[in-house]
Amino acid sequence: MAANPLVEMVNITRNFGGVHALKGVDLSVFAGEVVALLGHNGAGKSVLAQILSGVYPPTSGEIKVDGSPVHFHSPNDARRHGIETIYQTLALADNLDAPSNFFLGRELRTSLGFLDKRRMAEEAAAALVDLNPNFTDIERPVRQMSGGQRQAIAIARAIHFNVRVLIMDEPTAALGPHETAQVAALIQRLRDQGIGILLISHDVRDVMRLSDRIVVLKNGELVGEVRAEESDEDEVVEMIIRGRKLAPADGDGP
Amino acid sequence: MSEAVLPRRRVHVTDVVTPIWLVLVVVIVIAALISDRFLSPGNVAAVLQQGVITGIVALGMTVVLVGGEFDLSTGATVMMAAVVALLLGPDGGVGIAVAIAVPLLIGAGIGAVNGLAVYRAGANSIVATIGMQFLVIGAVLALVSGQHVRADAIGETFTALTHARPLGVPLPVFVFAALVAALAIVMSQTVFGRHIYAIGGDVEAATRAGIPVARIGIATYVISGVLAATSGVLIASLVGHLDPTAIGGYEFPALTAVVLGGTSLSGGVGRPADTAGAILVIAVITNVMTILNYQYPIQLLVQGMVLTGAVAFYSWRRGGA
Repeated sequence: MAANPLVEMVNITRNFGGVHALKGVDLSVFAGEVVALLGHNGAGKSVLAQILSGVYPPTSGEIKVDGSPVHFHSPNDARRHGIETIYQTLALADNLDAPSNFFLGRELRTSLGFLDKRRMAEEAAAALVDLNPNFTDIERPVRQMSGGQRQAIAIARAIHFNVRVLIMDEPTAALGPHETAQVAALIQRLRDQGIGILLISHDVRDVMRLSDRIVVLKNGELVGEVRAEESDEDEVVEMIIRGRKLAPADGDGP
Repeated sequence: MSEAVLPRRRVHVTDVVTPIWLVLVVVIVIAALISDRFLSPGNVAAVLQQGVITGIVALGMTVVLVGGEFDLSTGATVMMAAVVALLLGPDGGVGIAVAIAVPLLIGAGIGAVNGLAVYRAGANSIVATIGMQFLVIGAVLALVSGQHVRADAIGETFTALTHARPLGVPLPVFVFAALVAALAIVMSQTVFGRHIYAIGGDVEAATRAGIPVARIGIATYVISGVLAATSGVLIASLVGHLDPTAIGGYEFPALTAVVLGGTSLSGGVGRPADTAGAILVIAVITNVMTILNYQYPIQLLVQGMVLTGAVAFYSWRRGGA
């Protein structure tokens, strides 16, 4: 890849009290690329993703967007740079309806400064129908909705606002085969639109199929990275389990 | 992007007429059947007046509880505001505006400290605000050395504030109605209100949506503190003299109304207007018991039944959650 990465994380560390969750990790995502982040629970992949989401800052290290250093103090800062996240928990407020969740944190206002409920309902409805044509009755608490509908809300709001890098945390973990296939198709579609995708997963088979590049973490360190097409499940599983270091797949590394 | 128009849900009857308003109709009908005095203009005004003081406190607690937290310091704040208003207003010789503004500002300060303890330090809100209650009561009693605060020279303007009866309705009732309307708009039509519901519904989701949770949470406590202080100022104006040791205990009647109005104890659900409806229900029941000459123990018993019954009813209705 000749172009600059969309985002680049350089030598990221993160300590929680005395625990070193990340010990100097590099990660980059290019436009139109699906990067998978693999590792056991506690390997540091969620922490790394949440640092990129702006949930908390790194203890040290640098994040660059389009080559320029940035500092995220809240998820809003990350979103302002086009970095959106679909959390495994979906991060929906169950007591609110679909439009409220869709626009949570970036509500539309009328000229008088009040909530523009009508416009939010219309925009959310259009975006949700685009993802799931059977999605009706959106103005009820999302607690009453199916898992697929809830997932659709989380996805729809992540891709609606000029997304450039999409972080997906275990996007298929709670889904049936049909919905998993839909998510896979969506990932392809977004990649074709030039969006960079960071996929966090522990399902190696899914990852081999969906991603271009695979990055493996263990105990807060980078084990190695491979191109999906040049690797196979056995090699990746071995990296996860044994933490066997590989040379970087190409010249991307530091 | 398709322009498909969904069969969107319009405003349903159940969005406006929540159970508490049906209960209100029922208790009014029963009250009117029990006593022909109940619907007399004088008694209706008395019913309205009765609920206002507790009602204003309950409105603030509703806002805090929608955010998922408790404010049990409100009773003490009521007492503080009443005492400070009486000390400043009639005796202190400052203008009436100052006598009103200072207690409200102190109420805001109490709320801000509550909010910082809960939303910045992460303290349990029940314990933190009970601690604040002791602190405020202690400070006020120390201030007045436990003496009865008598305002012999209470200004007529100050008294007139609450004794005026435009259209035959006591002025505090209008204050209450205006506050209900204002808070209803804030909670349902503003981004700030929406964010309070989000925080009470799921703090993690709110945080990840970039909502400034602490700032908004602190603001809910400030609102509660100012409203409790407003109640105190009204009491000062209504009564004109106070025994600081005898006033207080507003927080639990207020909490009863909040819960009866359908506000969830776990946050994220509740409306100021429904709290107002619950205040009216309680005022009607209390009024009827007074007309029937029921003594205080019976009234307490009924209040206990209402609180426990309401919690049980709403919990059952929300599927045991």
